[in-house]
Amino acid sequence: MVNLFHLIWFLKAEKRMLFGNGVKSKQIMSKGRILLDKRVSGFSIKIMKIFLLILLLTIPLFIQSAWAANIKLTWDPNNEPDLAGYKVYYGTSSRTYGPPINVGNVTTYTLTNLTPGKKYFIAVTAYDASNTESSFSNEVVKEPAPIDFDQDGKTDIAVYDVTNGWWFFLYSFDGSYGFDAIGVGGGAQRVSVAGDYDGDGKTDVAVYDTVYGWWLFHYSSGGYFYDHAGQGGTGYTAVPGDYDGDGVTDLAVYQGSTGHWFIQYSSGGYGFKALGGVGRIPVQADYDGDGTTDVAVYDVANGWWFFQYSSTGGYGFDAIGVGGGSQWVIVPADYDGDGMADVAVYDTVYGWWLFHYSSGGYFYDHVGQGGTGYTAVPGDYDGDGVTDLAVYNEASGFWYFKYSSGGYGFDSLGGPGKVPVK
Amino acid sequence: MKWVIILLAFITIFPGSAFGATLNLRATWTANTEADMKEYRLYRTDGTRTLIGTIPHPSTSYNFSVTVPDQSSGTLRFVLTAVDTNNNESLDGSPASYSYNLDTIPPAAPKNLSVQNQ
Repeated sequence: MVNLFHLIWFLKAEKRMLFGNGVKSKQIMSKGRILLDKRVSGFSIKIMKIFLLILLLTIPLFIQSAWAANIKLTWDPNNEPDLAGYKVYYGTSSRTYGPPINVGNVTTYTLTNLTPGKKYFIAVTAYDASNTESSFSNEVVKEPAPIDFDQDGKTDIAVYDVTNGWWFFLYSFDGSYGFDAIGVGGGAQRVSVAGDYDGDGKTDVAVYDTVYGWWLFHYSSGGYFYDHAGQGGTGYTAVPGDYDGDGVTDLAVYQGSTGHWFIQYSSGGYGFKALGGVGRIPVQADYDGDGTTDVAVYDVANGWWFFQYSSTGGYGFDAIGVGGGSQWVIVPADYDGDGMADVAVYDTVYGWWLFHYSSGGYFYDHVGQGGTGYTAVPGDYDGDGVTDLAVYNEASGFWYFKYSSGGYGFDSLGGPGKVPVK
Repeated sequence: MKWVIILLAFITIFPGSAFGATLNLRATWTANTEADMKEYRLYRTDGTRTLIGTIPHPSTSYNFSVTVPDQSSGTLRFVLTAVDTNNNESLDGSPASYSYNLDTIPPAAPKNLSVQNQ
């Protein structure tokens, strides 16, 4: 991901990014991220260059490191008098599991040494004293954190330089910085569509050509590639997602004039769905919690949400009740931690977040910063599996967080002309 | 009086009656060699010791039935004794057991499985 050219350029760019906006005498320590604490002098810049050089040279080593994730399972106890215990099954595709783990007669168990960035499907069975085993419980899905370039299970801060097509990263695992570029340049014609297209558990750098519909990738597993969903370009919006539930991002486009969705599945073949139309923008996410992206649209004028659930093929509707309009932007994600995306909107004027939790109830929240000049960038920055609130100020390159695990955070990456990767 | 050793063999099950399921079993053993042998006595020893049957010498097998609850599972235990013509009864021979499993109804599937990062 980092070559010598990038490195040299990055050292120059980093100087501008880190110190070019008048940031000084600012001690920042947030969840292990980088700290800066001195007025920058010529000498300290040299020291910083050396420091960054060491960091960058070690990035590939760190990125190759094996990270392990643990997840805790809980379930309700059975009430059969001859119940003897439970077995936990898990795998990387729905209802296809490896050998079970006999966990005994308990109702909680922690799966260990899972690979961050991978999607896991999990179910439990009960067995009695005769070793007669029940059918599977409901299946739960452990979704990987979005925008996770370093595969540590946490969303990384990243920005895309629209003019030049450059990508800048602040890796969550050690607070180091990274840079990448696909090499086709920038411009408003190309938008970032980061996702795990190669299925290795790391987010890949990717852009979509809004005029011709081409997708260009720099795979985290190596190599530059391009592809096309068959449809796309002018009049279409890129809507990448995991529509086949295999843990690999699929290419997909939405045609706003017709409400037609064209999908190229990573598992093979093409798909078509019809939902939406004029005035309705795509808002695909996993609303039913089955590990597969659902097609969905948001009626901008009225604030209405329409879904087609992948689990049943049925349709759904929702609304938060604050109406529509351009003041609100859509930010669906799993804020309540139940494995299903929640209906959510962000107030671009005042910075309020409004939710209709899939687990029930309407809520609102605020990061402390936000509104005009800020962009909502929800993600799992603390790696707890629950979406955190976050906003990015393009003028300053500042990021503000309200973690689902508690507390607030701050970071700095980007600036004018650099849009957040989300 | 020598001890006797029995073996049990499962024959058939007649499940589903109002009184439970019937296990048809067969016990086999090695004959005693005493000249005054009269009979063998087969006891069921799981729970209250119960005489299952009296089998004249020199027979070395016995078919019998045991009724167990429907959809149950468990282990039945038996012992055999030898009796001579003066009604002197030996100590119990080595016990034999038979495990059965008529429980074909699985537990309910667990409910409300949830997952959290740790």
